[in-house]
Amino acid sequence: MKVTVEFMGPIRRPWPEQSKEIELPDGSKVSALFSELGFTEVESRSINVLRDGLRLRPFSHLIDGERIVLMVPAGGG
Amino acid sequence: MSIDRYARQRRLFGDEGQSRIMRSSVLVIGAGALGSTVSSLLVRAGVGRLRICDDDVISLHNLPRQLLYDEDDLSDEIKASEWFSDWRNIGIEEEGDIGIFFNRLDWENDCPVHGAQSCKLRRYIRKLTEIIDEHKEWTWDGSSSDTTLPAMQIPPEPDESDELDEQPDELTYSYHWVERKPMNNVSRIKKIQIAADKLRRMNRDCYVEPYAVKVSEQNFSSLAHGMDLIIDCTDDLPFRQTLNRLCVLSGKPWIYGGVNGSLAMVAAFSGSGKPCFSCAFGEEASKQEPPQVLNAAPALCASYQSAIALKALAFQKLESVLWTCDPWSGITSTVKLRPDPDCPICGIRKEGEGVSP
Repeated sequence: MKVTVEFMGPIRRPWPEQSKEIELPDGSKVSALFSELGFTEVESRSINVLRDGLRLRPFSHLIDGERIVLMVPAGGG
Repeated sequence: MSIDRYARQRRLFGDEGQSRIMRSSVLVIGAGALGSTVSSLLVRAGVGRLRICDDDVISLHNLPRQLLYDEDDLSDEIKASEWFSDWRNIGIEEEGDIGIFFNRLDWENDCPVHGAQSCKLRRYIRKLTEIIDEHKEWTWDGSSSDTTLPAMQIPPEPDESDELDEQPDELTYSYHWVERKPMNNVSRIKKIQIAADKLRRMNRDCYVEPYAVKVSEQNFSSLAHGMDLIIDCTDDLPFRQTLNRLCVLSGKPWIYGGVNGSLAMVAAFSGSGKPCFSCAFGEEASKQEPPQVLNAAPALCASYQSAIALKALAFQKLESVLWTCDPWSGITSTVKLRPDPDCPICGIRKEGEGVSP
C-alpha cells in the first residue's frame, strides 16, 4: 500500500521534502509508519497523525492511497 | 467633516462588523513576542476592551522579538546585569565607562566578583570594587552626558609576578563575570505595565486592562469572565492543554499560536469546544525548551492570530483550522480540523461504543 506523508510543525523530517509517498505492507498501522520513518517510541508519542483533520491513534489502520499529516505543535511564543 | 479612524477597515468588515469589533472584549494571555503584536493589532483595530495578562519582566533578550518594548523599558538593574554582564562590553580602559558600569550595578544583588573565571581577574575586580565603594556618594542619574567619575585611581591589572592566593589560570575576557542573583521584584518593572501604557497610547478608545498575573486554573474564570474571545500568546505547551480544558468547560472560543525557529503555527477553536486542542494535538504535551526563533515568526504568527480574531469578532464565525507557515522555506499548510469522538476533553463517544479504527 502507498501512503503520502506530509509534515507540519517542528518535527524531525527523514527527508527534505514537505511530503512524500511511501510504500508500506498492506494493512499497516500508524505505529508501523512511525517505525518505517525511523521515529523512536519516545518521538512517536509526541507526533500527531491527522487523516482529513481527524487524529489517528498508533493502532489505527492506514488506507491505501490516502494522504496523512504528521504534526507536532510549536511551543514557543 | 470628521475623519473616520476605521474607514479602511469598514470597507472590509462593514459598519456592523466594525461595530461588533468595537463592542468586543478580548483576553490576551501573555505579553511576550506573540502578545505584543496581537494586542497592538487588536487595539489599533478598535477592539473595545482588551484584557492582557503576564507576570514577567522585560529582559534584554526579549527585544529582538517583542515589538512593544524597547531599550528605554529595561530597568537600570537589568541593563547593568545583562547589558554590561559581558566583560567584552565594558571597555574598562575608560574611567567613565567603569563609573557607569559600577554605579548602575545593584550591589546588594549583583556580585561581579564570583563570576570571574580567572583569579587574577577576580582580584582585579575586588580592587575595583573597593575603589568604587569609596565613591559611593557619586551618583549618575543619566541626566547628564558627562559620565566621568570623580578622580579615581584604577589599579593596573596584576601581572604574573603578583602573589596569587589561588592557582592562576589564563586571563580571558570572554567570560560573563557578573553573577546575577535573584533581584528584588519590587524594583523591577512588570512587562504588563509598560505594555498597557503603550497600548493605551495607540488607541485611547480601547479599554486596556493589564493583569500582572500568570493565568491558572484558579484565576481563569474571573479573568475570562465577560470576554468574547481568548488568544493564547504563551510559550508553554502544557499550559495550552489546561487552557483548552478550561475553554471547553466554559464554552469560550480561543486561538492558539506557537512558533519554533522560522515556523508559525495557529489553530482556532470555537466556543462549541468541538473540535478542541486535544482533538488535534493529543492530551500529552511536554514542556519544550525555549526554541530558536526567527523574529519574523512570532510576528507572522501573531498577525495571523489577530486576523482570525478580528474576522471572528466582526462576523461571529470561527473556523477550526490548523495553519502553519514557514517563511524561511516558503511552505504553508492548512488543515481543517475535525472533532475526535474519542477525545477525553470534548469527546462525544459514549462508553461501550469502542474507538475508531
